[in-house]
Amino acid sequence: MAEDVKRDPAKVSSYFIAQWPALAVVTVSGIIYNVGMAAGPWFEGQLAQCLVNILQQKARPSAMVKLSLGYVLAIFIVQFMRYLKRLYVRKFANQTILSMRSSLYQTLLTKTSLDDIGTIMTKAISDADDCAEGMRKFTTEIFDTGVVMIVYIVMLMCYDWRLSLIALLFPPLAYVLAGQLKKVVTGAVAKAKEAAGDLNAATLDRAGNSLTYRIYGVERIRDGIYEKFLQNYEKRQIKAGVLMSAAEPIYYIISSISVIFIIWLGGRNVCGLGWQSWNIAAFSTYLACFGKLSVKSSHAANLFNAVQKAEVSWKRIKPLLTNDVPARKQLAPFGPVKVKQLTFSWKDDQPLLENISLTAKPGEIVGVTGPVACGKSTFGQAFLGQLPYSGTIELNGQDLRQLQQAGYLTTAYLGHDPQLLAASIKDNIALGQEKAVSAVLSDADLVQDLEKMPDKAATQVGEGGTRLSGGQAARVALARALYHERPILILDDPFASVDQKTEMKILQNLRQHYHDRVIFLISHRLEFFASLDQILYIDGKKTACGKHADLLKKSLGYAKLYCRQVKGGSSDEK
Amino acid sequence: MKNKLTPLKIFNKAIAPHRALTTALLALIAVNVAVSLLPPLILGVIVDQLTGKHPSRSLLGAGLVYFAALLASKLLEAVRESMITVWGEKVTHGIRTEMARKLSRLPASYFSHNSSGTLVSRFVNDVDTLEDLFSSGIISMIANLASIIGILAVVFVKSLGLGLLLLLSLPILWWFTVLIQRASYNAQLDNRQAVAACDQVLPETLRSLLMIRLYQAEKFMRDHYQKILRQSFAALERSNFCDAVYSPVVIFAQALLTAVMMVCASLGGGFRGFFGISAGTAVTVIAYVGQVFTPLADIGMEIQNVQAAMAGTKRIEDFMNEAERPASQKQVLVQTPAIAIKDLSFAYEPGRPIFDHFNLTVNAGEIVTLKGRTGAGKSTLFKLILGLYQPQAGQIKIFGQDVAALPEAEKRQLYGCVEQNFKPVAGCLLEQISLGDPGIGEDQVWQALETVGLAERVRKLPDGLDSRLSNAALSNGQLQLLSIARAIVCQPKLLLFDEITANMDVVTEDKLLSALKRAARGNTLLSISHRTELLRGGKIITIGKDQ
Repeated sequence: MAEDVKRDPAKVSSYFIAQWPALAVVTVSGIIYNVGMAAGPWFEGQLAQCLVNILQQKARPSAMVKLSLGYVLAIFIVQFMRYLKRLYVRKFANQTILSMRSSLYQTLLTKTSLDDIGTIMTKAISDADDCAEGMRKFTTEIFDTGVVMIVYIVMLMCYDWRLSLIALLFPPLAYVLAGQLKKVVTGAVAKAKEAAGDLNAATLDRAGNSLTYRIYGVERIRDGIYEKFLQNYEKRQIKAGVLMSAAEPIYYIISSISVIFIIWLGGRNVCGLGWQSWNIAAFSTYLACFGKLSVKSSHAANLFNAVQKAEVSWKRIKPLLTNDVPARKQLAPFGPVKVKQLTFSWKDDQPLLENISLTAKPGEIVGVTGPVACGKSTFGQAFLGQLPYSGTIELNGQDLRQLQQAGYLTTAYLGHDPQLLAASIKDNIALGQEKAVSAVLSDADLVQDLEKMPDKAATQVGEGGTRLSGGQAARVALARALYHERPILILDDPFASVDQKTEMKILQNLRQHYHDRVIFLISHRLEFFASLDQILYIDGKKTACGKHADLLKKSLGYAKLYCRQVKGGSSDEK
Repeated sequence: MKNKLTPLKIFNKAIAPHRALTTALLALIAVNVAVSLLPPLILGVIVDQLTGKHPSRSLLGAGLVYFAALLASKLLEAVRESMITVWGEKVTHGIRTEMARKLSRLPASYFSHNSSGTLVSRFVNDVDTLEDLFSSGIISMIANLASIIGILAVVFVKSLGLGLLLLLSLPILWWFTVLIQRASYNAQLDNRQAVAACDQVLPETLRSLLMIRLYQAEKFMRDHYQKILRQSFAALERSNFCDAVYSPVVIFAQALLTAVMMVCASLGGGFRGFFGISAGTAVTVIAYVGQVFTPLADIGMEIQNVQAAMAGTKRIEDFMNEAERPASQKQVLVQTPAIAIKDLSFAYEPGRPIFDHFNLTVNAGEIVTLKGRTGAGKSTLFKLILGLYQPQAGQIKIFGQDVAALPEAEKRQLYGCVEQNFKPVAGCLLEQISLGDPGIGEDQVWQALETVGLAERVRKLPDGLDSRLSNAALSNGQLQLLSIARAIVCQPKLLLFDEITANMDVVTEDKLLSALKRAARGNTLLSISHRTELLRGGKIITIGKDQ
């Protein structure tokens, strides 16, 4: 959809313009079909006349063969046009939905300052469908109602304008009456829907509170109450149903009053007594044509309804439609990370992170740990630019927050949730980029796993990665974090579902192949902490930082935590 | 229930009270079909008259007759449709009533195994499909079939040749209808799957927004979304094709048939005898050809609905065939301990007993608190005492009566139970307490509210007892007080409290405790853990593994 970047998705006309080839097909086939609709009745009249002529031996059977062929051919062309029109109108609607949804999705990706964006979007999607449906109906009805009615009226007028004036009196009358009746019907339908809603609520109450009612011994009483809802529902449904099924025949009957005049005065025409001189062909064509006109005119209201409904939806989604592509960001320079007096608290609570300071060079792995709920994950989030912390974080001598606000890419992050998409493993890692994934696959120790999968890296991971094991999902997410090169890499508890051997392998890979990055490894499992370059132990005021061996002496908390795990042999503090 | 219910039986049972209506409906369909055959016939006569030697003098009369036939046919159609609605609604009403009655007969375990959502969908969606099947489905099929037969009969009388032609072409068209129907159905299934995949992308994106931003995957995600959208539209295109192609083909077939007939009729000799039609008949027959295909197509379309309805019927059948609990029966009231549990054994799953020969006696007027760690079976014991579950062995009696067999009307006089959380029911405040029991007067409700200390609060509400619960703006604690009012409104002899002070702040808890004290005056009281032991010197019984 590269070509539609220029167009403004917040204009209705843009959708019509973007789809002009399909709409051109719709227009041509729609006009031919609807003009051709007159061909059916005309040929049928001619066929009857021809038969009369043959029976009266005024014509030869070969005339009938020709006429029949013409009839079949005409119907074929008309119906083929109809097929084209129907197909392309739907194609147009589908393309419209597609581009509207894409625009909405783009909004979701770019503007997410709105809190309840999820619910807004879900509603917007159904609004987009309504809009496209409205546009489709509008396009269809313009031809099917507008053009065809004009064709029929012109045809009727040509046959006998005086008779047509009389005959055309009744369909509008029926239309007006139907409009009156429609109000009653709409009211009844609304009430029936209300009754259905009440019944649903009552059903939920009766079924959902069954045990409460049983405990209090009122089940039979509740059945009685439920029965009243059922009765009300039945009454309202019947009323709405009867009115609905009565409306259409009544409309048809009123507009059919015209046939009395058509048979009477049209018959006089055939007998040579009327305003015009008709043959049987004219008579039956006129009658058939009128019948189709009165059916068509009943659809005229659809045109307005469809447009109205679409307008309401359109107003709602218009502000959400955009094609804004986010500005391409630049990679920040690689270099050392310096954290100075980082302090953070949620709202007015006491500080969660207090005065954390440390320096780490590229290629270093910093282990971050602490007791449960000490804020070690929050520490990791500070590098993402979303946390209102005080103090500073510097990357290569520049303030991290300022870098991020200036549109630089600074951090790769792997949290508890691997955030996998329902796509292939490769796509989940590369996210559309060209670079090969083989290196990170091997660094995340996924090679053996992939060999067992039938489609290798093209294996689909399923919704949220459910087709992978927990450890596999975490390692795919790790591979992704490694694939996208950033000066800072935050790994928040990535090995929770990975066995020790694998964990050791991955740590070795990180050491060997990622000399350019500063890596923070947040974990509550400390088996390999001894081998890390430095350790940050977070525990409020007792927070401490240093080399593993030093910290064991310096921080009682870290020493306890470490000993309990490593020497006590328990591998998991949970 | 001894005899199993089959769809046919459910259906029979539901229409049994409406035999007259059903018969009238079928008769009406027959009349309707016959009358709808008239207008083309009359038109044929008119045309023949016009082409004849002596054109009719009374053309106005002819017009009126034709209009009258149209009128009658359309009116009958309206009446038929209305009657189908009435009939369908009455039948489904019957089925829903039966299902509601079934609820009372289901064992408590059924409700813990089935979410109320599934239950409601039985009542709403499944009965709706049944409604479709019995009203628009079956009845329309009968009506459509009758139309086809009627038209065929008239055409055979008018022109043997055309009759045979029609008879030959109907199966072909039927086959075509079913073919298109199936293709369209498959395409819709595929589309639904693709739509589900689309719908999944939105929450997935929301969940992964952090990752998308970090790695600049916006473009990838947009392409990804469009790819899935396109898949869904590819399936939709297939169903669009079916939609677009069907009706043009049918109309073309009609034209072809008409053309063949006209050519045959115009050929001399044997053909003319065989097809033997006049101009009038030609007009009639052309109209019929147009009419005969519509009901056929409708039947083809209905088949799918019928399949959906059969699945719904199956689920209703399963629901109606669920095992039931024993019916309650009247017993002789013997003055005995308030609660007597003897040799109780109970397990949810075989081999993992919660209670093994458990005994407990609570005398009238006693206050007993059950304690024990979570999962020890305190709540299960309550459910057993309330008769929601049947013990595998042993006896539980309340004032000498078997609870499961207690007649409904006596339950509230005998015991009141305050559940862990207030369970709002449909209706106003009054109904929250009375639960819709017409035997409970307003004065009783006020008295209960007075006891729990809510009366003042309710009096201040503009609509008093008629206020909707959502408008009363009651706090969680006040809702719990309402729950107690619900339990004590019939002044039962025994009160059961199920951990009602869990999740409650101290002030509310104090209020609740004093309300409890007032409610418990002179009553037997059994409660689960927490603060009720603070009430005047009660007995504490611990339930645990050693039992």
